[in-house]
Amino acid sequence: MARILLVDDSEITRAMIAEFLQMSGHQIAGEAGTMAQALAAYEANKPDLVTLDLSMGEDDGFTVLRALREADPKARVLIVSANTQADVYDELLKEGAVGFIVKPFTLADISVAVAKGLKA
Amino acid sequence: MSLDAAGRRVLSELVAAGAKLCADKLTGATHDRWHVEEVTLSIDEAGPFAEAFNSVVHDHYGTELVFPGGGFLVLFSGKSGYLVTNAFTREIQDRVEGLNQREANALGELCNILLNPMVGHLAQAWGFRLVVSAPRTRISSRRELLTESLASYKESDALAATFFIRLRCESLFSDCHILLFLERPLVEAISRPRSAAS
Repeated sequence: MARILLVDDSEITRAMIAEFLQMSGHQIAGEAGTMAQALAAYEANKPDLVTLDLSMGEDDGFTVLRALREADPKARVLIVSANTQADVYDELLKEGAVGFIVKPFTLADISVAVAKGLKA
Repeated sequence: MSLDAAGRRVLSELVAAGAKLCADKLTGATHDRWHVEEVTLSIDEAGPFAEAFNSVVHDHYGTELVFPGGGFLVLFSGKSGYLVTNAFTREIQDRVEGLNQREANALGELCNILLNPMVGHLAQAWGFRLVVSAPRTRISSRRELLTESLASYKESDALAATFFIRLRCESLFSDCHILLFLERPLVEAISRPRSAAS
């Protein structure tokens, strides 16, 4: 079981990810809808893994990823996105992302991505 | 610059293929089969479908996503929005039942999901990355939503082409209308041979 922080400006997506994570036996270590909330929640909860939306309302996912990795270079961040442009994913890996969850996702997608992310 | 006949054909084929990707994503997200019913190109203005929009006065969910050189407006009627939201959130119904603006929230996210494959498809064909904004969903009449979206392009006389895409799901008794707006600089860039554009 891992403790996972959910960062997404969409309550619907956070609810979906939380449901699937809990069904997989994981614990939700907090939820955040903005970069400021994400950094505060990370600092307070020190999660094993973060799921991060790439396209948040006011905060670009790249910026949030960099900020989280600056705060903790060992932060494991899984990107959640509907983006299909391969070069975007290449760049995210260079920035330190440990994997991806492509929307729309299933319980199996989440389980596999989280397992891989925790091993990274 | 206007598109010539060959340019219109190429662009129409590209967008039609993208529309199929949108339908496939909607199918995956709602667990119900969607298909493309119509893809229509209008040059320079919103065209005949804008006229048709005037006849429907009840409220719709309108979600906008913009990118450098254009944007999308995705429309669901109130009924379609409700049914599609239920299908999209069926695995988390209990969690989202009391959510403020449940449909608007869900449809915004759904539009992000269904449009990204189209964006990726266009980006790959055109040879550059397209960064799309986060979705913004409003509730108003179709006419109002279209008028507001068009206003930003009309002010600068920037609109070069508009596509109207209609997706249909029989099992959900639902339609999804997508308008794709393309501005002149983007149309000029994609009309150039790849080597000249890069």
